[in-house]
Amino acid sequence: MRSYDVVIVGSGIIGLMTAYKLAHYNVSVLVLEENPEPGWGVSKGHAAIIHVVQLPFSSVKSKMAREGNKRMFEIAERLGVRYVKTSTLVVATKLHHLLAMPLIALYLKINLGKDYPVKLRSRAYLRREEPALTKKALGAIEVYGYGCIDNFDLMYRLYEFAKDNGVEFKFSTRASRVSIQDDFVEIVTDKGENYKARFLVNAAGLWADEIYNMLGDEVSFELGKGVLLVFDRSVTRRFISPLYLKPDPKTKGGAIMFTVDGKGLWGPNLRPARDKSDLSVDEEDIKALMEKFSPLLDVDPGIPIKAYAGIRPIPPENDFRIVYSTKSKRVVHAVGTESPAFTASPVIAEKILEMLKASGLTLSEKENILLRKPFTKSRYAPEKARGRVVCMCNLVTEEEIREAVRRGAKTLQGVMLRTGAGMGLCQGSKCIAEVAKIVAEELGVGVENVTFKGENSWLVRRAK
Amino acid sequence: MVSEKGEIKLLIIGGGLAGLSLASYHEQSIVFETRSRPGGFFLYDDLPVSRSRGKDLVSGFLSKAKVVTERMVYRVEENGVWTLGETGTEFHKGMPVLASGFREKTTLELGIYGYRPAGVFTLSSAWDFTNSGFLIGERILVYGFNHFSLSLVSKLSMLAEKIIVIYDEESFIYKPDTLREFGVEAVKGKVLYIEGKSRVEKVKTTVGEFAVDTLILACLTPLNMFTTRFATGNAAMIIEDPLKVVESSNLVAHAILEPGESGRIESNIPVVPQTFKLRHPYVMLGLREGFKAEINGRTITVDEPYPVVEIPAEKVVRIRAG
Repeated sequence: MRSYDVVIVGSGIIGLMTAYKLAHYNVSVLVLEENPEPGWGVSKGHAAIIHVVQLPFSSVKSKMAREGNKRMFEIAERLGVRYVKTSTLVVATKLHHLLAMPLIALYLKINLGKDYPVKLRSRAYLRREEPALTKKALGAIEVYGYGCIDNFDLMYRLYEFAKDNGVEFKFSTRASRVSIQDDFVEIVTDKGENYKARFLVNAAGLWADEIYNMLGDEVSFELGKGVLLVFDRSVTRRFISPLYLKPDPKTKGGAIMFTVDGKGLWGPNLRPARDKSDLSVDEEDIKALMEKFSPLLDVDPGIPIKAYAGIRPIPPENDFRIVYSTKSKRVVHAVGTESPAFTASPVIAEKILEMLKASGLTLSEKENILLRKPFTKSRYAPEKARGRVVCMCNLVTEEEIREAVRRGAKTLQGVMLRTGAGMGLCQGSKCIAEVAKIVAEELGVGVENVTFKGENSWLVRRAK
Repeated sequence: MVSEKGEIKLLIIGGGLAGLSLASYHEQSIVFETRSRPGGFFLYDDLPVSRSRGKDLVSGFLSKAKVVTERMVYRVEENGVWTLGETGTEFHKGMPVLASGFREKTTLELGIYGYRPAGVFTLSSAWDFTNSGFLIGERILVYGFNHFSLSLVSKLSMLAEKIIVIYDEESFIYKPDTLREFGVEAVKGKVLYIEGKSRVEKVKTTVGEFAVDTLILACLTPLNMFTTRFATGNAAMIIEDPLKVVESSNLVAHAILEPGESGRIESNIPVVPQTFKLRHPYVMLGLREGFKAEINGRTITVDEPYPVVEIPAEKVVRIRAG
């Protein structure tokens, strides 16, 4: 039985952020991940937005998101991950909303402090600054401090960093049984392997409830599905969200946003998921988003390229539960880590490290840290780029595809998420066959052995 | 813009049949092709239309055109284009013309919902895989009926276990009976929903469910990555017939290169080109045989698909579906 100082279950943003932080210290760490690549669970379904306002302000998640916001930009800076800073316009289209605006702005100002400026904006300002906005907009509250980030580059960079600095990863491996022994935690995987951990971090996201309950505590998630709609371009320079007098605390109500490469992004909505694998997008999801956000614009929003769904694991208290197991302080649970957990992840990881330390984990800093070169993408700076372009919509070169595989992507989806290949307007129409060929070459297998997203998701057969 | 024929340099974005043929009409042209081989879809198309094969037309024009491969136009300006390739970026001065072909409509544009498993291919990627010796599926549902999907079906029919074509809009040049000649089941309807988590398991349509492992999206629309004054071939409108693609480039060449004043088209149907020279008042209409069009108040009946019609040599010509 191999033993580690820390075993982390899950390599979503929480597991990765924790692994990244631990990689700076002299400890042995193993990360177990059910999917073939990191970041494919809850973290795959979010909007890649760095948040500011999360209600209620008194909640753990709200505080952690405000602290995490700054840390996130710092980490992105250190790892060379692209981000774009912006603000959010909370737009009033009704007179009574306009009248309520000053009070709401004051409330936001008091709670956000000077780190996140809040300004009242006039109709004239909106006309000038955001010409795409509906003429019905009477005014808006502008909240600064938002951003969007290349989330898959971030997650793969965290993974690389952890791996380069000694953290071990086991993919396609599920922690199926976990038990607390006298002075260690035992983990049995679905592959029949056994691991001994001095400390266990439960960062299993959507499945964190299973480990939580296995170890004698009790939680049950409400599964909240959210759909995001991607357009071929963004028509606004800021995030736009309608003003609500009674916000739903489970979601910030969604917004018109954009991605780091300038695509429009609308959503998410919130409705119950049928089960943990229910990543379907239904007509009613798209209708709901269109009805909610179309009235905010006076221009054509562009061509809808695709929609994707994510599932939020919502605990009854609707807040993060970053706690020790009641049975043993060798186990730290990160439960209920749904939005804005992505923004909060650096702070959640710091809290996990503190708790491990308090339980007796010695954290002595490593002398040498390896920091690989960032992953350069031609589309962010075409004038400096060179190479044979494979994906025309997102300007991805052959070398970028090869580099993604060299840095650990094993599937077509992994390469697409990391590089952006096949994720543009033509949906991979012109490039997917070529991308698959390059991935196969780089993996040293036949194209027929390249899968879309792991087992059973075969792509092509060799024709007889 | 210079009106002397010899002085205009055409920067043609896309080295398919439309781009190559356009280049053949004007010596001062460069074709930029992202891929390693020019020719586009028609390079591998051996299904004849009026006895002409796309691949034969491509090879005929290949020898006449100046093509730069593995170099992609990534930005278009009024007086030139920026390209990217192995040696970095370059600016080329001249008049950009779009010849980037078609794209497939997205699932959202088509109103298809559900999951996103492996086994959902666009027509073009299915075409690429098939032409490289791979089989994209065993039981295949093709959504869209046109020359391009039929050409793919003709290659797949020997390899796949079952092929069904479902279509909402009819082909401009084939009757649905043609599909049956290929031994393919054809139904009229719309695709609604994709089931399957790893690989496609089932596709729901307005005419029932199909237990297939593959869905091919083949409802086409021009691919317009850039805004240019002129576009030709399938970047301008969907043209199933390769000879008509060549003809559209001929019309575009006249519209650009003929001297003299220009006229402009206002239309609610696809028309190539959108501006023309008064000296050469001809355009191609995106209509099928038997349909009517109203041109500046005069009604004509179309006697072939993609008719080339003479229009009044006026500054503005209004064209309406009849």
